[in-house]
Amino acid sequence: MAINKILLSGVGGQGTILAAKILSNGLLYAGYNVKMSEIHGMSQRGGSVTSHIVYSKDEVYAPVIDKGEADILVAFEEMEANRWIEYLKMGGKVVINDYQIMSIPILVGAFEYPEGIKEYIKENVKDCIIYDAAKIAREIGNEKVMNMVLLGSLIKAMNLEHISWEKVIKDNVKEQFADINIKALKRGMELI
Amino acid sequence: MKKFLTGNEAVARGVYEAGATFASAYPGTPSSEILKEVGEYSEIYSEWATNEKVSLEAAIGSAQAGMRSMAAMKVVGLNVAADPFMSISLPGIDGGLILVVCDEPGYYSSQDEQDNRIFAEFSNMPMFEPSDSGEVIDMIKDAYEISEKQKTLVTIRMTGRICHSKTPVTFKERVEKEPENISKEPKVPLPAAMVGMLARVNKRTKELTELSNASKYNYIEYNSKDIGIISSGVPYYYAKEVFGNKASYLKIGFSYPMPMEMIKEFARNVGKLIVIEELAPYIENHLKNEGIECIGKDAFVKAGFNPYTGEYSVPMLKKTFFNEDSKYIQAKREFIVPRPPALCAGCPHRGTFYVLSKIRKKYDVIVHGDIGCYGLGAIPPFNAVDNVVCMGASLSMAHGSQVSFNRRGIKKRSIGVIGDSTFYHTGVNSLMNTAYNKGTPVVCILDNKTTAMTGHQENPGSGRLLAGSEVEPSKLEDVCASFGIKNITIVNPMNLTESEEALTKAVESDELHVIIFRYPCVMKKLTKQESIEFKKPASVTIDSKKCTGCKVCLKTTGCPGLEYDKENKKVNTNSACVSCGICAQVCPAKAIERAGV
Repeated sequence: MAINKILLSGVGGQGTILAAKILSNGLLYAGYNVKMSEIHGMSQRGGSVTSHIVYSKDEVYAPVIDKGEADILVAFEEMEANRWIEYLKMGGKVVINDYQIMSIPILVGAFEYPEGIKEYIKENVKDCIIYDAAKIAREIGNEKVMNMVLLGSLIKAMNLEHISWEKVIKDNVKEQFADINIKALKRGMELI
Repeated sequence: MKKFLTGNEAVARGVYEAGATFASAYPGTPSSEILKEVGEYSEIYSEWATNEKVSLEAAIGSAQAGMRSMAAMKVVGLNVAADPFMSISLPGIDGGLILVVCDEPGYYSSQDEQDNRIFAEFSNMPMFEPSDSGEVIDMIKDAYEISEKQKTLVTIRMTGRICHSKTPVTFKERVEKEPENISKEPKVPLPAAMVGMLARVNKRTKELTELSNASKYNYIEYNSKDIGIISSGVPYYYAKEVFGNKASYLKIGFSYPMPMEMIKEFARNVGKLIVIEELAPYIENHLKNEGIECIGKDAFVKAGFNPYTGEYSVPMLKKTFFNEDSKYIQAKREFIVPRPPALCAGCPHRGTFYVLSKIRKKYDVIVHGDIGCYGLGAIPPFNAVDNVVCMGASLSMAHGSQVSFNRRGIKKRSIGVIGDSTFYHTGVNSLMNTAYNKGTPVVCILDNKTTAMTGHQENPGSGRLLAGSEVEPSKLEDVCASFGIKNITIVNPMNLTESEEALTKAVESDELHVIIFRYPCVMKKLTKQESIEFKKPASVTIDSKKCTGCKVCLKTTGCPGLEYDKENKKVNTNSACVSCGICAQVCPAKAIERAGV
């Protein structure tokens, strides 16, 4: 089996790390060889962050993904889709959260939030899904679970529905939040 | 059942399984999580040290008491601990001692990406280099065995990639360890004793070389013998992914002393020899010194890379050795807006830097910064720091520059800006020196009652120990007063008027002033005492009728809790706002209301 490479990009505080944790634990329980790497630079919060997951039924080697390598890019924030698009391999898939978080240079007026990112990526990536995961998460009951909505779409896109995700979520989130996270994940799977 | 651990978590598991009983560290990326994880095991006494030198010295003491001990630090932490590190080589120690040092190719959050493998050779003490979490655990256990047999510190050299990557490991039981016998022979490096010590080190190095040549961490995998690859750390995996069975491998995990006999054997048996290692040409130079031809850094340079800095990657190897270019969709440049890390909404440093940047516009000052979240004071919107060197340097530099401005008759004020944890780390020495030598700079201590940058570790002023129990905090004002400093002012950085007055007074005077900007980090879990002492407004609201849309609040504070509504041309607070009230104090239209002040 070839090595599969998944890149999650987002902004500190958006829950990419929890999504990556659940994903990699699920893969591990299902018997895959897995490595995961997190890159969060010096920022506690608010910086650009990525999580890298590589897995295979055979051996996996590099724990980190570089340009032109990812089978799928899941961007938790619109600007972070363009920033990391070079890491996607040709013919790879993209899931974009139609959700914008202003960075400090935008907040202070030095830059405008760029327009046209979604269109640019759609033009260039055949397999591209865009939706507002925050809106869906709010409908479910908590904006914070947008990470699970996106994870659900990722699981479907990578044909990993056979793994018992409910158990993995229960093992990795606080009991009172398990149900809403599972609901969000299922909703995300339906969106693709 | 396999567990999925980061390299840092694996360090904790390794020292636990090895039966260690003492651990000390000063936090620093990428090593910070290690000690917190060790602290989860009640069998191991764990403490945050005030700096890396203290941490290593305490671990040496504990090992000399016969117990397996550990110190952990980040890449540049070893510079702080270099004195005990180098000095323990000759006398040696009776008990097991490991040092975990976490290098950072790519300097994601370090001021330097020095290759600490060179320190092992410099000190004549053995070094292991794991490639993943499983190896971390195994190597730590074997490192203790070697440490005790050879009476030497053993370094485990990690890189940030290994620290923060999760790979599966298998847990084993902890094996309790009987204390080592403590020899009666004094370990005092007096000149008369040095000859004997040097002879012992020579003998030790010889024996360690034999161990390295026979070590299970240095191993050969023969596949196609046309190409032979020598590699270590995580680049070994990049090589395996790119070359697969098309090459043979010599994987080096016990990297000082180098297994030269094994390398020579490998070189004889393969065709083209390639060395794949990040940062310094450490392995490559060992080969070249022995006259063994190999392809190393030059190949990467020819392919257009700078292989002496940053991390390697799979595409980098593909390009260098197979001339394969990565194919990808270009990111559109005009869509790339920087997303630099920012001070959190409610961060007390925001008030301090707002005032500092105002003072800089009004007075001729130089601001020497330091290492911590407040490094962000150097970037927009504050631009309030002129230079940063290393932990604690702000205060020593402020002293030095003020002396020289004064002697040259230049009317310029030197300001040193340092956090509480960095002050206790090494700044305290600098301030003692300033006071003793009658220096006159302005010293700003940003006391947020924690070590915020690295994830809120405790320090002498934070009011807690590593395990969480509350203790009487050290008081910065008492420490400063004990040096004989007269002008000590404590201000609340959330109160801009009070902060500006104190700073103005200090800058206008020609005496040494210490200003303590005291307010806990917004992310800190407050101690009982702190929750009584520090209050913030109950709420902050922007009156949209009064807001003129001038964006002064945004442009001067850079607060992520504020955002500009383009349609209505108004500023609003958002979900990040914690109602700290800084923006209310800078609004020219007085449109921001603070309730419950």
